[in-house]
Amino acid sequence: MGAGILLLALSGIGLLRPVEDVSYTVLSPFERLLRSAAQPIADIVANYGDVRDLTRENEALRSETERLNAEIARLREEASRREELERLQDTRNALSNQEFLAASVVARDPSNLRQLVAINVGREDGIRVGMPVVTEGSTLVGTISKVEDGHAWVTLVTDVDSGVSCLLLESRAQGVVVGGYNRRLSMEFVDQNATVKEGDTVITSGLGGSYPPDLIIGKVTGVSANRQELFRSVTVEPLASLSKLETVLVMTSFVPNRITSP
Amino acid sequence: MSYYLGLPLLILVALTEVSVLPMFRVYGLQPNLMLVLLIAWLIVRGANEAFILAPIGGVLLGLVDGAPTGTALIGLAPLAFLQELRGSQLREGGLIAAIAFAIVMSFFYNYVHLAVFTLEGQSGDWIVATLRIIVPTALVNVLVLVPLYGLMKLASPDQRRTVYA
Repeated sequence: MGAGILLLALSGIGLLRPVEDVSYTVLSPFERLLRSAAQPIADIVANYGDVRDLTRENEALRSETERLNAEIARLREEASRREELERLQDTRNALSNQEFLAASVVARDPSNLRQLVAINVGREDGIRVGMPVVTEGSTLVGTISKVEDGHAWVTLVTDVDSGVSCLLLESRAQGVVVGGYNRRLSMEFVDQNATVKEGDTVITSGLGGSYPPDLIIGKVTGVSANRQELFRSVTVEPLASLSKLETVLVMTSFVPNRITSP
Repeated sequence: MSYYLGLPLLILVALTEVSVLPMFRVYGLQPNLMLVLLIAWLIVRGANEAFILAPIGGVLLGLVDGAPTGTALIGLAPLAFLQELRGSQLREGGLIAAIAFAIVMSFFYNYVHLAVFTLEGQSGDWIVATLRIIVPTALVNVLVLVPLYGLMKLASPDQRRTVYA
């Protein structure tokens, strides 16, 4: 008690100022360090109520962001779907003499040996085996090969079992486009004297009655020039994005006519 | 793991095979996930469960794929038969046995499909199919099998006991 009063008195007359200065100089860095370390905790304590409000607000905003992101994704998907349907409508208009039924691709055959996709229309919707399936730009996708009540399987043109009578739009050279295990198309039985060049468009010829004429199949990407062979070997790139099909049109008005020899 | 987990898992795998995996095909190939899963199950968990799950997997796959129903079931049938013949040896073989089994089964599974497609009247060269599809698919199946086998081993309680014992 006495010492306290003494120090108070000495401080009052200024005798302790040098001691105070030294102690401030030595201790102030530690004090700043401790204060900065403790500040966040002090803020939390001081603003405990605010933090609670902010947390609630943050959660609400986060949930709102999630909702909006989901909404954006849905709208994008809807816009993409609408664009696809508009493009398919162009196809429908271009082939106005035919009737179509729009269908969504719902599954793909898991076997690596086949190229099949399942669509969400079937016997109940009037789908029959042999009906051609197209996508945007009147591009041939394949043929209905198996029909169930509520769904059907489409054999893609790239399937090893697919064969389509075709011709080249530019030179009218005829042949048959067949699929293969390499997922590519090749045009076979093309006359050696036929004019074929890369970039030529391959369309259905309608010969044989299995497909209507003038459906686009693909573009020529390679031509072999081996004169010793009876026919030219032509590789064709399908124009339809067969690995990314989502919506297709089934040509319901076309009845395949299997023409047999007389 | 038990049938309670196995059955929903098989349904999920069957649906994944026709919906998700085709989106991630590499060079047009996807693994036979059901086959790989059942092989891993067979080697890790043994005959009792695999004997029941293999036919169920075959039926489920047959219901969702484009091949005639029953093709997948026939393709998976040796899983049960081979286990009956070489049951304990297969389990003792571990990962090596699983890989060997996956290769053999990949060939068998795909040749069964080829045979059925041929009977249906589909054209297609078996040699070309073997070189371009079946051999690469077998390799893809092995690549998928290795991590799946590890996961299944970790998830299997009695296997964990073996590991930590």
